[in-house]
Amino acid sequence: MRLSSATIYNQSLTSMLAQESAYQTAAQQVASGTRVVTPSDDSLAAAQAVNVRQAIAANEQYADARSSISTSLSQEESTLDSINDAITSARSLIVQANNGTLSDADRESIATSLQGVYDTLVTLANATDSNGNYLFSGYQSQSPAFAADADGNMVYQGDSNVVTQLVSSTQSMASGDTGATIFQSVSSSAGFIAEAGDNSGSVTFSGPTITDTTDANYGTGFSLTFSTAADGTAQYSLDGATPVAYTSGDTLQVNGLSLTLSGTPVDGDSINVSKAADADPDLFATLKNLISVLQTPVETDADKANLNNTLSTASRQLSNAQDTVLTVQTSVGSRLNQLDVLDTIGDDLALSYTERLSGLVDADYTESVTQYTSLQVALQAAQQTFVSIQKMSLFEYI
Amino acid sequence: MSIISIGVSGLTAAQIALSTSSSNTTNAYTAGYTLQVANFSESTSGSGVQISSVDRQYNQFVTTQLNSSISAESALSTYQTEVDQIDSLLADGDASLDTLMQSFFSALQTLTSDASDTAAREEVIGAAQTLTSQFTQLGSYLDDMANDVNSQIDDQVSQVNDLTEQIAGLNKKISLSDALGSTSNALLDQRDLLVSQLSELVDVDVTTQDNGSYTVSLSNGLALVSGNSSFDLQTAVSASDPTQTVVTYADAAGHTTTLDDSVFEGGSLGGLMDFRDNSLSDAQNQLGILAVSLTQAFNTLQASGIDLNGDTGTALFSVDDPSVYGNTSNTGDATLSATFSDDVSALAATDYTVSYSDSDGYSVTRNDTGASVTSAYDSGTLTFAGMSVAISGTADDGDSFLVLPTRNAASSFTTLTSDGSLIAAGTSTGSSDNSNALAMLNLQTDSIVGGSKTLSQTYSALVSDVGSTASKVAGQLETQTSLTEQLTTLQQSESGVNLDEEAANLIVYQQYYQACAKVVEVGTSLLDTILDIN
Repeated sequence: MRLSSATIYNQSLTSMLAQESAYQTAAQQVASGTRVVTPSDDSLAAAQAVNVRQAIAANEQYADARSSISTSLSQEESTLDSINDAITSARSLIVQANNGTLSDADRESIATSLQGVYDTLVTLANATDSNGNYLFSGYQSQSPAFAADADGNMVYQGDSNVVTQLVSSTQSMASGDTGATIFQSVSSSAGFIAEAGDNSGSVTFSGPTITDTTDANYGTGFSLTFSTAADGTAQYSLDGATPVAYTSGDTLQVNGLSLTLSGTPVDGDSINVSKAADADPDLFATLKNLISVLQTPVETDADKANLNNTLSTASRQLSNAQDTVLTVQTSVGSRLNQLDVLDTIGDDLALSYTERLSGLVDADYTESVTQYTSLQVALQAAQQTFVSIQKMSLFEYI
Repeated sequence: MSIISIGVSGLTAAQIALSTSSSNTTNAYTAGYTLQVANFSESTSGSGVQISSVDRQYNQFVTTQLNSSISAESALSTYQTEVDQIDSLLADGDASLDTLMQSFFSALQTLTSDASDTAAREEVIGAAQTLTSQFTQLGSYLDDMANDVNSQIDDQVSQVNDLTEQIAGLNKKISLSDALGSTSNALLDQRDLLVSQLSELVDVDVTTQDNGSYTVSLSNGLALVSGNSSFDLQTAVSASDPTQTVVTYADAAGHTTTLDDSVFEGGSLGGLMDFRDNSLSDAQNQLGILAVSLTQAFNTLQASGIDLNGDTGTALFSVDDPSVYGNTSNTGDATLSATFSDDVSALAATDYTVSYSDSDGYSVTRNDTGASVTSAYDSGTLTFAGMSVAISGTADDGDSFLVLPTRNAASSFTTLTSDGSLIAAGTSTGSSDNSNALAMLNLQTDSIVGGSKTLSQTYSALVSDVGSTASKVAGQLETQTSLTEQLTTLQQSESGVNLDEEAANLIVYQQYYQACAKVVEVGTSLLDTILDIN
């Protein structure tokens, strides 16, 4: 085919320019280490990379959430440890106070110790995190969880919500627990509590103990009201029913529970038995009541009965409170374990996402350097060809 | 016939041949130059030689093929120049939209761990501002591109008019010189070069008339050049979409016709219109729907939550209301104004046309697919595709309106506040209440765009669309360029100058000239001999 001089010139120039542009692209790839810079470099990879980067970002967010929850839970865990210790010491003080040989002064001294425990618990209940947020106030983290009302009773200021965060694509987790859960509730397995009314007689109780869980009314509490019969003997009425005669040492079997009574009642005395959960559990109220009873001098049989009954009730309530704290602690521990597991999964995911992203957009160095070198040779060849072709002319010879 | 005359006829022929060869040599690299060849023939008036003609080595068929290939290449190359800009805008980096969306949600995540933390709130606002300003920047860049395309269309239309006017002028000169029987090769070269330049701008059909003049017409048959006259193209604002420039044609009778974009398939004009109607408006609409979806979903959550000051949340983001344009040929006096509904899950990244007919009332179609869209009309309000359009006045049969919900949304996307306490992170007054912030965080993975895609998936689709279009166009351009090269080589193989060939011709004709001179010398000496006898 006949070629025009302009074609020869243009063709060798065009091929040189094409080599130059390919060489530049290869050089850029080697220098940046990236194969896909603009979407047109590989639209499929670029689009997938957007999705992978989104997955990486979400994975990082979950990791941040886990780290933040882990910090909160660790702090809660150590606070719960201290609360548990405080309840343990309160319980041992009750054991001491139960010793019948103690004097009023001895009990006063125990009351002082208990007051110390009470104050510690108030401080722990109002613990704050590094940002000054109250740990146990729920969403109301700017107000102390518990504050004393006009009568000196501790009242919960927070709400029943706990802050939750997404810790994986499918799971959200609470970063704490509320003061109401820790200090004002009992675990579902807690048993029954007997409480004496504002009695003037000397009736004391022991129990209640669970005897028959198959009883039709099991799970329901009951109340006893003492009165004096026409013949002057003591009698009691069960839940307002017809009174029956009372003898000190009687063991009552009601609703699958047994309760043993001793001492002499006075008309109007009462004893109330209820499920612990229904008895307005409140660690602060229990301790406050206990302290106040221990500070009261024991002069009459009624005083003594009141002391014994209070100690008995408080002992059960503290035991329940401790169970509650342990339950929360277990839940915190298990959440921390879950976080560890999720962290491992998250790290694995992060690694596989990163590898995937790298596979999509990163340059393969061996390949790109090889290409770079061969394009360099090709460009040099094109340049040499250009020069030698331009020299080829008949005009050189005439 | 004397030997001298015969020799002189050879000298004359040699001079013409040498001058033709010189002309070829000097124009070896001149654009549009066509190789000329001097044709020798025996002298008709007795012995000797004559140059019967100096022919252009011109092939109409190859030239037509080449021009149409140039047209197609020019369209693709224009498209590539434009779409490459969007391609670069979407290049991955710290400022890419997906990275900034991730930063925004990451800041929200930090907020969920402590909703009372004012620093975390400021961070959310900061990330939101960075995100919206990047959206605005990208959106404005695309809006500027749309304006630039319009002004490029203006420029190119006036270039087309210049060229057609010149071609008409050359037609006149060529037919005149034809009539005088002395066709000028230079004029023919010049006219063919102009047609080739015109092909770069717009795809045209060229037919040659008996008198040698070219008739140049558009793909729909409308003549741009006919004989000695040229017909101007003009630009005007589109009747249906005032944001777009369209090309109009004024015929000899003075009637103006609006040319559909599809008339321009090749040439840079075709490339510009193709880009504007496809890649550009798609990119604008997809960016826009991201902005609209995030705005509506986030603001709806804001309104259902409580901020740090204990007040009901207010809108955090804002985008402009959809633009509505009544067709300039509407005869009714209805005006439409559109707003977005809280739920924009039915919205698609496209433009919509609302039409009115006396029999069916208002109906809506999507401009990208032409499919009809479910709409409900109730006492002056038309609701469709996540929009609520208030209609005042009365439309006439055949009136239509263009609704652009997402086209310019990205450039108007803004963060309304710089006060972090206004983020409605909770649903109660508790300062650590993060329940609403958790719902906001979920927007990251919820299918809030068009009811079927997440924000990230939408962006990914945009990246994929632009990337595949850009690489498709680059591939097509490469093919078309090599086709043009092949055709050029073919055309040049006939019409191009080869310097070696001309060097050889120069040598040959120089020798020929010397030989003819020798003939004259011989003739002279013969004459001398006879004269000497006397």
